[in-house]
Amino acid sequence: MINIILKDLKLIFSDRKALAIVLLMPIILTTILGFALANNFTTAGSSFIANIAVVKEYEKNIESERADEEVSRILSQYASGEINLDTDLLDPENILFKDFLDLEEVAKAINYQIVDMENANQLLSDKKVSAIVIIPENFIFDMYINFLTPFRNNISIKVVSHPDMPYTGRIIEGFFQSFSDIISASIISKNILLEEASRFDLTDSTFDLVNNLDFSTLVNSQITITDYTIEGKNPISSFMYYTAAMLSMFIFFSAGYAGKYMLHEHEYQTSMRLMSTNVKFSQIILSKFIMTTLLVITQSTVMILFSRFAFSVNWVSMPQVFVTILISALAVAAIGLLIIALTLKHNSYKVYDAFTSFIIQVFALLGGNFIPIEVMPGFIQTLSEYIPNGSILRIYVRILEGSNFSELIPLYLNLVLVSAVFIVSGTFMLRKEGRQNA
Amino acid sequence: MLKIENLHKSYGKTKAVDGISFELNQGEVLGLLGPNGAGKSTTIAMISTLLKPDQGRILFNGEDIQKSSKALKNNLGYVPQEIALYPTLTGMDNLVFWGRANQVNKKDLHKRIENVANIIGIKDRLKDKVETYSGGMKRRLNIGCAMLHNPSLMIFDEPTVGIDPQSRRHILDSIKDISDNGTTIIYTSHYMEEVEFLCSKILIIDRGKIIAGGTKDELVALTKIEKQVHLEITGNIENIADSINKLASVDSVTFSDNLIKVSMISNSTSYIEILTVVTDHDGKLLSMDIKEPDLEAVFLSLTGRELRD
Repeated sequence: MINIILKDLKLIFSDRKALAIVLLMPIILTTILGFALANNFTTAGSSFIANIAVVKEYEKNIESERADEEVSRILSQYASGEINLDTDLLDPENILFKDFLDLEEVAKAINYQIVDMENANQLLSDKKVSAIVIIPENFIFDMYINFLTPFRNNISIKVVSHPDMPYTGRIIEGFFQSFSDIISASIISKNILLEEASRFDLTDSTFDLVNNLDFSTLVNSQITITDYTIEGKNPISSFMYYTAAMLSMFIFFSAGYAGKYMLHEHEYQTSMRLMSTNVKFSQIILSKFIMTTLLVITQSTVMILFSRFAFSVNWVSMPQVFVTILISALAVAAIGLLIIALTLKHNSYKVYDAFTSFIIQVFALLGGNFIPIEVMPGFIQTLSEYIPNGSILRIYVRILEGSNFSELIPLYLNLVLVSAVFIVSGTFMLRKEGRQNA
Repeated sequence: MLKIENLHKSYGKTKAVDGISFELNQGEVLGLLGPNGAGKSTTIAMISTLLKPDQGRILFNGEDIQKSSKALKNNLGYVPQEIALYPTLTGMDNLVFWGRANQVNKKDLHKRIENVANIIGIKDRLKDKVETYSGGMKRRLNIGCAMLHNPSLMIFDEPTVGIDPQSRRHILDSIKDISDNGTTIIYTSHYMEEVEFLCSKILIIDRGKIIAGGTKDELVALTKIEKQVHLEITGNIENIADSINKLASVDSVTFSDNLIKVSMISNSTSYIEILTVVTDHDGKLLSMDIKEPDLEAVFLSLTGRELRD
């Protein structure tokens, strides 16, 4: 038996094309996808950071003076006393930049630079920034009107994101949306206060109060950035994700090779010749099963070591990784068994071709190996749990996040169950083939 | 050593083997001669335990191999018609693998490989991948892989198909050496000259049945053929062959290109009749050989068909 296994291993390890597919391709694709989609993931060990360009379309001094006049004019209609604008205390530009963008927690996620529109476009096209944020004309004026008078002018901050970085663009939109929500809430509160004050004839003192309000505290107290990941979990970088994704996809090529090599044995009549010795058909099949298992273990070890040294991926728990490699190798070998049975039944390389060029690709798409499963529709997310590569990817991602063994057990059981189904169906078909061969 | 009793095997409605029986003693070389599809390979596959007979028994040293095939398998060297080797492995890797598969122990294996490599003449190429070998070398290695465990029974299923005459000669000489060492051999071919060269006993099989058996002389004696005449002529070959076949002294006639082979059942006085036919049809005689009858003529006489039909 060991003799047959050694021969099968020699065959696969002397097949350069097979080695390029099972060992080299996942490394190449992880490197490409890891770099290309780095902006769509967090960076390992730290939070999300996006670079943005801010374009000011407003004229601060002119709009401030205009606002001073307009606010005085409006307020004179409501209050008897003279009200002067205190730009030190209420400065909309400070609220946006100092109180919002420079806020420690926001600054951890967003690096901004103030540039003109032409430079901003250039930076975006060079992908040096993920988005341009355009602060519109009349921003200062409208903010004063909104804060200090009973009126409310519409302010529209535009976010222009790069088409290659849609997720980053959406996150930045989210930041500015929350800024806008807080400002709106403050303005609504102020209007309610003024309306209530007029009912009780307290308008003068209320306007005075509003004018002296420190709006920056509102922004400060309401904007808090919680971590992007579940508490206690590590953030996943693009290299972490795609190492797991490519690993869980490319190990399935080994199952295809089990079928291909079995058909070689059949074509060259080496299996028949082996059965004229004291070797049984079941031993030939078992050897292919073990070869597939050992090939998957080799693939997984190479990928994990490569990601560790090339991309500094922290695999958190090596015992969990070890168990996952073994269980995933079993699952792939189980599928390999079914492929062997189907290949022998049809006596054709079509089964191998269909599996490697179509089924693996579809499974990869459904399992989240190319596109993170979180952005897929709900039914595909559910389906991916039952697709072996999707299941294996989930396990590796959970390990990278720092999950403990008990959290992984349901995923392991799912994979073992799927493997059992493949083993039973493969064995059943092979027994029929064996009887025909006997 | 080997006793085959009333062997039957059908594929659907086609009877591949239809009641074959024979016996083979230690050291004998048996040739199974017949055209493609005669049932030779099916018979061999059943003896090698690769196919289960529908009916009949195969006894190896008195033991029914359907009840226990271990003794047979331990003593069997099977050389399939296909080159059943691993082309991406080296010659040495293949020999090691098949040696171990045939349970040669590690201690003796390299010595055995050296001996076998000398016999089959590939010693200098053992480290090269089999896919780089010529067709003849692959065939020789195919044989070598079945010899490593010194089997007492070797089965060769058309081992010279598709190779050049030089390699064929080398293979036949190797098999002759093996048989001279006392190994029992079953050899199938549709090349009668190979069977004539190697085999002490010949079975002619056609349509799944043994139609004749014995030594070459015994088989020739079964027919009325006295001599064979090979005529090289130009002219209307088909008409000439047809007219020769009608002569009373002629058993059968075959022809191809400009060669007519005539099997004769009476003595030399008939040669004149043949030459008369050639000149009557305006044929031009280029050469004429008178030979002892060969197995091909025997097969033709017994079945009315050529071996390579």
